[in-house]
Formats: sequence, C-alpha cells, structure tokens
Amino acid sequence: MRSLNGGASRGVVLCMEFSDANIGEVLARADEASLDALDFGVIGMQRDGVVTSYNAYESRMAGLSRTRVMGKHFFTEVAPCTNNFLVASRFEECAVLDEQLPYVFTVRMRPRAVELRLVKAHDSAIQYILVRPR
Amino acid sequence: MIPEHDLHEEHEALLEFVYLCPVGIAQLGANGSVEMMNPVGARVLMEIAARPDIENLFESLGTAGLELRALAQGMTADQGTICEAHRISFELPRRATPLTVSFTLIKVSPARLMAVIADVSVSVEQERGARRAEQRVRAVFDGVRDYAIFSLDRDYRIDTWNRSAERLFGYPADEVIGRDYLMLFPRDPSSTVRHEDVTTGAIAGGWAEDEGWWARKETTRFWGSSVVSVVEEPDGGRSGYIVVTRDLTRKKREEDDLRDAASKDFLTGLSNRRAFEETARQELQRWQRGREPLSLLMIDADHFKRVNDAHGHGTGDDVLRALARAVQDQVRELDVAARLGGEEFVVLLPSTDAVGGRAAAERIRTCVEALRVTAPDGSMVRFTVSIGVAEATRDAASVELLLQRADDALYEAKRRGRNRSVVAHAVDVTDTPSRVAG
Repeated sequence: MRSLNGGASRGVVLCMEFSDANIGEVLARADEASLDALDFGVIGMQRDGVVTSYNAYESRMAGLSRTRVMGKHFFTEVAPCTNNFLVASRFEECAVLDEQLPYVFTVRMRPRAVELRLVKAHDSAIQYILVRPR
Repeated sequence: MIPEHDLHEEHEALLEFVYLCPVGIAQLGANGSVEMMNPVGARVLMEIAARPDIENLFESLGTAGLELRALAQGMTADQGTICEAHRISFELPRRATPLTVSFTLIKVSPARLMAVIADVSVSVEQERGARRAEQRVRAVFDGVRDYAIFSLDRDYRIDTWNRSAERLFGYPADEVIGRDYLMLFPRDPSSTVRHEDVTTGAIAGGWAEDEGWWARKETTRFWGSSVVSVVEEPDGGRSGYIVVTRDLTRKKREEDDLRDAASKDFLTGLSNRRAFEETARQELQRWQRGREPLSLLMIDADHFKRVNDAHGHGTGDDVLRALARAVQDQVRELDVAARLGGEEFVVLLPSTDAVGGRAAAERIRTCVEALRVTAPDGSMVRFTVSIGVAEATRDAASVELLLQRADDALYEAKRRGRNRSVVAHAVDVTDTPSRVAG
C-alpha cells in the first residue's frame, strides 16, 4: 500500500494490482476514488448479487454508468452472460473463493478476451469480480 | 436537436437492452470475423469454441465453423438467409448430453452477416423425449399384427387407423380418416342396434365388448371380437373412443360348424327340426311380448313318392335340395327355414301376418313350379308344392298348435288339388280380432 498525491479531500488512494494476493482485504477498505483509479474493472456485490460498487474502468468498458448498475442484480440484470457455472455458480458453491479464469466479456458490443478474478472472503459481506484484458 | 444527455441515456439503455437480450446476436464480417456480439452470444460461443478466443465465428468453432463457412460461401446472392435455425450439436466433455446450438445466418450485404445464436439443448432434449415416446407408442400401435386399433372422435368419426386395421379391413388410412365408423359395419339394420348397444355400454362402464361381423373394403366380412373404450379428458369429458378388434373369423367358423352339425339338416343345409323348434319357441315368446305378427309356412312336395319311384332316391334328394334352395331364396335372412323330415319343410316368418305369409308362400310355390331337376336318364323332373299358412293368434300360441294349424291348412291345400297355398282360419276368434285373410 502506498500513498499517492490525492485530491483536495483526504488525499489518500488505496493502490492495488489485479494479481495482489490480499486483494480481498484491500478492496473491502477501498473507497470509490480508489476503485476508480484502477486500470482494471471491479464489480462489488452482496452475496445475493446486488451491485454495491462498479468502478470507472468497468463502467467505461461496458458502456454503462455506475448509477444505472448500482443496486441491480448483477447476474440477472446487468450481465446475464455470467450467470453460469463458470461465474455465478462458483460464488454460490464456494464459501471462500479466489480464482482466475479466462473469459470473454462483451466490451461495447465486441467480445474481448478477458481475465476474471473471482474473490469471496468468508468474513466479508461483499464479493468481487475483477476484470482485465488478456 | 436532441440534448446530448438524452442521447447518452438512450445509448446506455440500448446497450443494456442488448446485454439482457436472452438469445445471442452478432454482426459478422463476410469472413466470419465477429464485429459486434451480445453477451449471450459470447457465452454460447465460449462454451462450444474449439479455441479460447472468438474473434471469428467460422474459425473458432472447428468443424462446425467450417460447416457454417461453407453455407455462407455457398450463398452467391448479395442478400438473403444463409441458414435458418441450423442446428449443430457439440459433444462436450463436461456435459452428459450434447449441447445443441441453433444458428441463423442472414447476409445483409456482401460484407456483413447477422447471426442469431441460441442454445436449444433443452428443447432438443424435450423433442427427443417426445419423439422417443411417440416411437414407442407407434411400435406397439403398428406392431400388433393381430389387433386392429383405431380411434374415433366423439362423433364416431375415425381419427386414427393402424397398420393392422389397414390389413384387416383392407382400407388404407386416408380412405377412412374422418369418416363415420358405421362404414365398417355390414349394411344391415342390426348394425345400428349393435353400434348403440356397444357405445351405450362403453359410456356407462368405460368400455364394452362387442362380437360381430365387420365389413371389409372388399365385399367380404370378418368376425371380430372387439373392445371399445371411452377416451376421457382430464376434465371428465368424453373426447372419443378407441376400438381394438381381433379377427376371430376362423374360430367363429369352427363354432358355427359345430353348431351347424347339431342344428342343420344334413341333406339340404336348412335348419333341422330340433333347431327349428328351439328358434320357433324363442320367436313365439318374442311375439307374445311384442306387437309384431308371426307366421309359419308348412310346405310339402306334391307326389314326392312318385319322383322317388320313377327316378330313384338320388333324384329325390336332388329335388329336395332344389326345393330347399328355392325356399331359402324366397325368404328373408331373418326368416327360419327348416326341413322337418321327408319332403316336409317349414318356414317361420317373424314380423309377418297371414297376408305376408300367403305372399311368401306363393313366391315359393311359383318358384318351385318353374324348377327343373335333371334325372340320371336325362329327363327333366318337374314338381310342385302345397303350402299351409298359419299366423300365430292367442288360440294358437304354441309351436305345436301353430304347426298343427299350418298342417291343417296344408291338408286343405292338398285336398283342393295341390300346387297351391291355403291360409288357416283362426279357430276361435271370440277374443282375438283376426288379421287372417281368406
């Protein structure tokens, strides 16, 4: 964790990499600005799939604004293409989850090979899907 | 001008719409390169792709891709449907059943294709299950060689017809479907009664048995043993009937032969005295219950002893057989003709009064008068009959009395000079208005 020159407010941005081992803990503490500063997509959701965070990178890639996605059920209302055994089922099946898998996401109507990282910690109410281009 | 904010909103809504679209849609270049594709399309392709990327539909799907490419290249026109709901099945290691994907490819322009990609595995499995069930039923339905199976709608029109039915009745399905099943009954007034009996029974008890003749397409008939079941709808209504029938003609013939041996006169094939008396008793009982008249003819060959003496017993037998045939030919199917013995014959005529009896007697008499039997010496033998006619009345309400009355009339016919018929008069008409004509 390092400190960058932030904005006027608190001036502290949590920094992380897609592959960081302890990314679950970091994400849990990250504020919106920190998530937006990342160069990969982050979707945070409750155990029931309701979206609680949707960062700028993901918003740009999908072409959907944060306000449109927040509070919706991710697997049915936002990205039904992930409502399958590879993604949604993994979250249901596992109490604790941290795995990476190659996937294809539709980025502005074009399928793009991406890497997904599915993160679910047993002590966190929020689970995450991280997305980066392959 | 539409504000940019609204345009952005619309764009976003459109994206969301495409993301949520439950079937895969894609826009491809002419060579199959994926230019636009919604998430469901991507998800389906990912499952079946032979390689991890899906940059090009034709290249990412292995042999299935080659198949689609061939279809696309086979289309020489600039626009049109390349394939519609073209199904390709993919055997995947982690699935027990193949994944079937339906591809619709439309050529919008020489450089652009639109694709609809849908996972139809579930409906394919359902169709397969339904087809299997149908094939099983069909195998049973068509495989039973001995049983004709056909079904009727609630108005007794034939709506299915199996192969055994085709064989047994001689009608191909297209000649019977939609027609009233009474076409399968012999043309006989009793058929309507039989139809009513069996359907009433089936409606009352769910099913009913029937034994009787069925008419083939050819003029022949067969004796069928049938079960007629009512087809009930889940709501309890009746939607039709299923008829299962088996050809028991041979068995029927054997039974008939046995019965014939006991009931037929060996010389003429008419009923014998025993069978006649049994039938006559039943007919008299029916007569007593109902209002239909009943008459009886007593027939005797005139001077039969002379025929025997002049031409021998063989010719005498020929004369009796010819006489029996004449009698049989001149009466109805429901009438009972019998040889009582020697040259004496009798006919029971249900639903016939003395006038009708007299008419039948005259038909027989004139028919016999015209007969010629060839004797062994080549001579033509002619012969005549005398007939006594009696109608059942209250004072002659037994077989014996009726026979006695007819015999009296026959005696009168003989006395008056033979080759004639005479109607018996009611002996006691005090309480019975006589229908008898003189």
